[in-house]
Amino acid sequence: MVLAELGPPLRVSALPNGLVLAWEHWEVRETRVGISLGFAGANAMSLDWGTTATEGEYLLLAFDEKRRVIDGAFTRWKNDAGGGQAIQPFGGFLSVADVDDLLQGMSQHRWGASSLKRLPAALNGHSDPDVGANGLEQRGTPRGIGQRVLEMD
Amino acid sequence: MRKKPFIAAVMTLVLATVVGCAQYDNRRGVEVVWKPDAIDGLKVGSSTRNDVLQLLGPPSQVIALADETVLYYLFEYSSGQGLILVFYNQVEIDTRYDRAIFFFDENDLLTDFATKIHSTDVE
Repeated sequence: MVLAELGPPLRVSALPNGLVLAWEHWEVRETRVGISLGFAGANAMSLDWGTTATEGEYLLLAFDEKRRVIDGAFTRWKNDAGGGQAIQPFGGFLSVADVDDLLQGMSQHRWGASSLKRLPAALNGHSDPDVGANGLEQRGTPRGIGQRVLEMD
Repeated sequence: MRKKPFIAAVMTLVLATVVGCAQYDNRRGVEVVWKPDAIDGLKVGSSTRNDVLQLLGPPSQVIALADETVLYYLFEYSSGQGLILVFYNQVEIDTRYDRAIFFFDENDLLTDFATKIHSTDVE
């Protein structure tokens, strides 16, 4: 019934007493304003200002071993995700707005390559929330804490 | 008249030594709703996973252990500033993590939990 109503989930994982499915929708807005001598062929004298904002929805449903919904939660958010400003006369060394971690493809696309990750990430495979057996995580979850902390260089 | 060479020299020195400076802040994770008042009603042994989900919303991570499940709520705030010179760089980044973790047994009953909110986030 749930699959017929909501379609295939974007995230799936086994749980000790069933499974958990999640659906998500994200909008990432990145605004940057900068002045530089790039038009003159020089990567110099840049003044940057940037800001990022996110908006989205996330639905999490847990099922028992008989595939009946036992619990779930839904959230909708609109957040400021950060920003900054910089003066860099001799080149762009620092980025004031970075959303790369929010724009990664779904983890399913990387299942086949899970053993080819960088060594810290490959060794953390038994706790990896991307493989569908150990749980799951929302997009944009901090990597400096939680199940991925051992994956950091 | 004599000021012009001096100003030009100072400007040249500044441009030659200050390669860049920047300031930024960054936010990741879920909204910090696990304030003391909000979780006051949670009781080990009687509250369920559904109680926590209804109270706090979807977690950052759902973790499957052998016979247990864990809901982990995370929020990261970092701010930093950097000064990049020719011979010396200084980048200062302050990162903090607000978090809450809830453990449930095979019957989805709360067995343990802990929370931490940075003092500036508590209203």
